[in-house]
Amino acid sequence: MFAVSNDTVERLADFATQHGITFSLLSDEDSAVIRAFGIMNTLIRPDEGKHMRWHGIPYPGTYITDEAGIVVDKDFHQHHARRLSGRGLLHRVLGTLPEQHADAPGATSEGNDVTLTTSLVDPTLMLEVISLLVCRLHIAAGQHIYAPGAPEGFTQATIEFHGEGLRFGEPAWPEPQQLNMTDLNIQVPVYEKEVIVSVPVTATSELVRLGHGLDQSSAKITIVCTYQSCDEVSCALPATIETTFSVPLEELVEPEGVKTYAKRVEQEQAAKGVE
Amino acid sequence: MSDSNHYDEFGFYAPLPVDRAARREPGADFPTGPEIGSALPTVCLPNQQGQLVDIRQQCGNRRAIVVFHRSAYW
Repeated sequence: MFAVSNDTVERLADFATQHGITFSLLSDEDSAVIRAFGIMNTLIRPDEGKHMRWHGIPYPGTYITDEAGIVVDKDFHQHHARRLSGRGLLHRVLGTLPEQHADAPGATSEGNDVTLTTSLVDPTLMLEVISLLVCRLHIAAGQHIYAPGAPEGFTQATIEFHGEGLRFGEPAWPEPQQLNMTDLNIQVPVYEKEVIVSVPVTATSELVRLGHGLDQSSAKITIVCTYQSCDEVSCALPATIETTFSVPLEELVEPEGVKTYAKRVEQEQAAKGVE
Repeated sequence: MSDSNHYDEFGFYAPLPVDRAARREPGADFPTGPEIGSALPTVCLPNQQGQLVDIRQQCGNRRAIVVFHRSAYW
C-alpha cells in the first residue's frame, strides 16, 4: 500500500508520526508523477492557495495492480471526499464478499420462510467514506423466492434501505437460478437457500460536518425486504421483513489544516452570535 | 446555522467556503489516469523518512494498492 500526494516529506513525516502510519506516504512535491498519471486537478490555478500547496493536487483515487504491475482495478469518485472504506477496498481487491466481522454492527430478523441477517463491513460509518451493507437472506429448505426480473404477476424480492443523513447506492443482487415452469412454459428467476445482497452506504454532511466533531454518536439504518416464498406446488402470501439497527459514527482522521479552518468558522459564528 | 456557503452542490460541508479554489469539483468526465489493463506508470518518490521508494521494485511480484490523495496537511 502506497499513498501519493504533493505534500512535502516534512509534512508527511508529521502526519505519519501523529497517526502511527507505517506504510509509505510518498512526496510528489513538484507533482511530476501526478502529471504523468494525467490526474492533476487543473481547476486550481498556480496562484491559488500557494501556502497550502493547492495547485498540483491530484483528483484523488486508488489503483490496484496485479503481480506484474498492471492496473486491474481503479476507484475514482467525482467528489473529492468520497472514497471506499478500508475493508470495502480490501474486499474489492480480493474479489470476495465480506464475512460478518465481530466488531461490525448488524441485526437479524425472522420472516416467513426467510431470515434476514444484515451487517456493515466496517465497525463505524465515517463522513463520505463508502462502506458496504451486506444482507443475507436465508431461505428455508425446499423454498424459493422470486428474483428481480421475474415476470409480472410474481412478487419479486426487493430490499429498500432507509437512514436519515445516509446515502445508499445501488444494491448488487447475485445471478439468480432459472426455474422451469413447464405448465406456464416460462423460466422464472429465483433464489434458493441463501442470497447475499450488498449495497454501498455513506454518512453525509447531514450527519457529520467536517472539522466540527460529531453532533450525534450513531445513525439508524432501516431495511425493508419484501418477497414471496414458494415451494414446488404452492406459494405463501407476499411477506415483508423490516429491521432497524444503529451504526456508530466516527470522525475522520482530519489533517491540521481542516481543524484550523473549522476553528475559524466557529470563531466567526460566535462573533456573529450564530447558534 | 447560517453556514450555507460551506455546503457544495453535492450537499457536502467543509469549513472552507465553497467559493475557494480547493472546493471546486470536476465534471463527471474528469480524468482518472491509466486505464485498467495498462501498466502503472513509474512511481519513484521519497517517503516520509526521505528514502526513495520505487513502487514496482518494492512490490516485486506482489500486488499493490496505490492511493492518490489531496493532502495530509489540509
